[in-house]
Amino acid sequence: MTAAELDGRYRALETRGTELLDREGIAKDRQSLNRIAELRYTGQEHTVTVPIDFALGDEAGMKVLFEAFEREYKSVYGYTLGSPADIVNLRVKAVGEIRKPAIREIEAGTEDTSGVRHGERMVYDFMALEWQDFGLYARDALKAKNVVPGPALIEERTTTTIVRAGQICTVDRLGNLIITSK
Amino acid sequence: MNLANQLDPITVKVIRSYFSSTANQMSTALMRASFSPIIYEVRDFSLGVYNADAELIAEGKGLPVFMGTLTFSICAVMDYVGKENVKDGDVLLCTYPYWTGAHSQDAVTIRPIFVDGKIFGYTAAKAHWMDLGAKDIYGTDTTDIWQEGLQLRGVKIVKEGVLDHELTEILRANTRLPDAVIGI
Repeated sequence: MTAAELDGRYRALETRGTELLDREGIAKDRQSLNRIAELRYTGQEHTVTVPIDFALGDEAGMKVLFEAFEREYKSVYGYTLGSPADIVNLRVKAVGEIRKPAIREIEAGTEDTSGVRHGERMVYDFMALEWQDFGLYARDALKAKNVVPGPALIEERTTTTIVRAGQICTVDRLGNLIITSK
Repeated sequence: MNLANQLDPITVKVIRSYFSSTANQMSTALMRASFSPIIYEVRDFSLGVYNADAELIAEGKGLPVFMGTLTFSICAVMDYVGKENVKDGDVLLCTYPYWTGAHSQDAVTIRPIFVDGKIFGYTAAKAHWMDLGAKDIYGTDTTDIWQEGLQLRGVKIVKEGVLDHELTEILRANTRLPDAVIGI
């Protein structure tokens, strides 16, 4: 394969990448394209990833590509072999920069959580080696600044948070549960 | 002197993890850079980091069954070659089954690590080489050791950091699969 053919294959991938980003409504000034080649010495199985940040237009491009491969190879393995290499994969990373999502703060309340305590359950605490009466709370019902005294179970659809006796749980403005010793 | 009484547990863990990481990076490098499918597919190798007495400090991901013999291989090869004859950057190669604990194809490479001019420890690997000119490529009916392939008791395949061309030429001419054994 010649450098010009290689360049042609990259252009085809870049066209596809740009089309995808256009279709998703990414403005042109928020699009970027990165060329990547994966090479290995002939006879090896695994490749080394080489960023292609140079022109591949003419035959000199293949020499530059091989030199870039050996530079990357040396940085990964500490040596080079100088023997022929295979180009295994060509990739183009088409990046559309989207705006960072805003982090949503939850509604603020007070320290008092007696109103959202919806029951008790006997739970065996394997560290205390005894049954204890745990207060029950729904995580969705908690507000910022709420303080949940242990022993308590804070339940939600995907998990349960245990606040042991001797601990308290404070809800921060993002809804994180921060457990500390009393 | 008991170092355990002088170091805090966090320092011990940091140093221990560093050695483990070194051994695992050796495994990854061997596997990913290999020209032999029995290494990059089957992972027929084992390797580790050893102290000056050839005691295992950290083992890399590989075949656990190989691990137990590497200490004895290091001791046997270093006794044969002589510590005084080894220099920084040398790598010793041994395919002598009586010292490696396996068939000749499971070649052991040993690199002594020097600190202040003295051997401080070793890194060592045992890895299956595709063929060393045995009677068959994987002989199971051999009747003497010379039918099992080229025997090397402890020769420098790397001398002070430079791959030994004479030895690689001997190996290249004595294997049915030179590309997988020598790679270049």
